[in-house]
Amino acid sequence: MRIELTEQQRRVVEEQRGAPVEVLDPSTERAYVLIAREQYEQVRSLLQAGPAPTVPAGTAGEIPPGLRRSMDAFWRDLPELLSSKKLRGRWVCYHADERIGIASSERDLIRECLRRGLRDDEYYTDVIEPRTQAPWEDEEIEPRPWHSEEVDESDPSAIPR
Amino acid sequence: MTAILRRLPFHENADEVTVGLERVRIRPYQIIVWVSLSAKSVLELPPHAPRFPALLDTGHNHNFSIRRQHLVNWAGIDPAGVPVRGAVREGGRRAQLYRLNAWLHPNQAGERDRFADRPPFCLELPEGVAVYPDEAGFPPLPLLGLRALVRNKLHLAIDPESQLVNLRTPDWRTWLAHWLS
Repeated sequence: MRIELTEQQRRVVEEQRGAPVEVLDPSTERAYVLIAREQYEQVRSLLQAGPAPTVPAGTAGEIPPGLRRSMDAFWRDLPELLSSKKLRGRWVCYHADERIGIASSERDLIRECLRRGLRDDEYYTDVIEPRTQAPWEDEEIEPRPWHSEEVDESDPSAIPR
Repeated sequence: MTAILRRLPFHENADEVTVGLERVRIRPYQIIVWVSLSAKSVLELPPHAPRFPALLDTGHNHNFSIRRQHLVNWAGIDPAGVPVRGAVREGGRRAQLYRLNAWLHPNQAGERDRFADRPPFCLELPEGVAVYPDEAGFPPLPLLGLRALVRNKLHLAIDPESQLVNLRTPDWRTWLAHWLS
């Protein structure tokens, strides 16, 4: 079903420069929101989404046991993997203690995990490169000051006190 | 060689971008890219996956950081369905790392908010995506950090004269120059 905008409606939409336009049905007083097709595509999955699948193992905020076991195996094998220069920079994947494979891209390894029917929390992928800390340990990252904002000094209310 | 961002403009004046029904303020000199997030097991991004703006921030030394609210409302991802793989600390804040990959949407050359008819580029993120609690109020806009570009061997070029950004995968000349150096 498709309704064409009138000239006046088209002008209103243009004036809003991408912002939603409210449309009212005068007979029912029901309001509708008119948005551009590309905006609708951005939110469509949210409108149609059913309940998201949940991770069955582990509790919220914790590394699931299957993933953690796979990380342990990666950390255990990393020194051996690093001893081969040609493996550096390549991806490796573990499912529990088993090494699924080594590849130049993560996608190839994940494809193999999917073929085996593994869930996202049952395998671990990482890059073979020197590390100073285990993958499950908290990493300290650089604090980010946010934006800089120019202050109009002629406006006393704008000067931070 | 694949061009991902072609002549992507950034502006020296404040601007706005629309995400769904929301208008978001863009500050001067902020480089905005359009991204999607997905579970690692998603090998092809569905055509209707939500797209949202992120700030390309080479000073951000992680892959990708996002506020929980934006993860849910903009990326359409319920964090309860994604495995946690660790955490990062930044100043007094702690953000959990979720096993997600990011996808960069190629732009139409010269346009920031119009997309090219090319598939999105998957950024493989070994450390995943940092998700900050809403109360942190950070980041105001999702951040795409330098680590994500380096991990995926992407070449970033900023043209200050025309205020345009280009991002591409390496080509044979890149490898040759690397090999000769």
